[in-house]
Amino acid sequence: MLDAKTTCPLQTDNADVLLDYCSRSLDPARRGMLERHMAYCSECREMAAGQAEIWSAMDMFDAEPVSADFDRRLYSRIADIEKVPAWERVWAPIRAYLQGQPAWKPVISAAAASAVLAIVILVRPEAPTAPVAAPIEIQEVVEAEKALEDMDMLRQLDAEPEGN
Amino acid sequence: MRLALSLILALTVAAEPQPKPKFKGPGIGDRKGGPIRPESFEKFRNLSPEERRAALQNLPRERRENIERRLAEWEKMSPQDRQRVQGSYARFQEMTPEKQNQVRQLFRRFSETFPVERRLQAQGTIRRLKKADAEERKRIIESKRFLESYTDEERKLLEQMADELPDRQ
Repeated sequence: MLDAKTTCPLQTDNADVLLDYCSRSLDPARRGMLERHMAYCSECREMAAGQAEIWSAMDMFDAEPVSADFDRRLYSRIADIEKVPAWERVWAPIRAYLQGQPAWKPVISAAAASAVLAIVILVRPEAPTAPVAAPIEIQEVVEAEKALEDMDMLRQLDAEPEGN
Repeated sequence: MRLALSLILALTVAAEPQPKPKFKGPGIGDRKGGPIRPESFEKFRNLSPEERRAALQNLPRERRENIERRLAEWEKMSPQDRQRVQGSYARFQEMTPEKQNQVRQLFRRFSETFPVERRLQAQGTIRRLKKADAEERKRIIESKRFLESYTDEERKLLEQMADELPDRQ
């Protein structure tokens, strides 16, 4: 399968075969075929060499041994966080924002804008539509309007010719 | 930057003037409201110009102008004329709402029937009819002058008005 020049894993979108080879998880039969292919395929050889360097670097890394009470300390810290007052939990993202953590910026900006909008709508004074508030009820205005209308009618009916 | 833009947007939206609800009061011809308290007119009349402007600000323009025009005419009247109209108005207010509406309808018909130049003559006739006793009234109605001056419809209207209008002081 991999022995012919036309079945290069990089040219047939099968790079995972090379990755398996480098991680030493490829079965022996396929590993033999790939090595025969690499004998004359420089691209696969280079990639395999690069992967081998990564694997050898990873082999050099020694993880710190986990302490015996790691789990106990972890759960203790989680419990401590849950004990933090609500205001501190609200303040924490703001503090993080002020310290320059970019992920919170849009949220804080939107919250600040909403707060300002709410304050402006609730607190802003009414636009001055009249110099003074009318010290009279609407109903009284309507009654005055009716009275004026009726008196105007009676005045016209009462009118006399001049000199009469 | 984003914060600043958000603040500007918020302030711009807040600066938009809120539409004020239009005053929905009874219309000119709507007479289904309660009785008119005389003190309402006096209270309105005694407002300062600024207070009056504020009181009328939400009324439709036509109604506002009518009120202002009628009030200006009222203020122009002589004390004697004002007293006379107030007397008529006091008696008008003693009428039932139905009777008041009848008078208003008669006045509308009168305004539609008689052109301005004939109104004073017609009003003089109404006054004579009102003052007359039954016999005198019969004499006026059958007089040549009355019959020649008015059509049948006009005569009927004048007689009706003489019956229904409140007495003068």
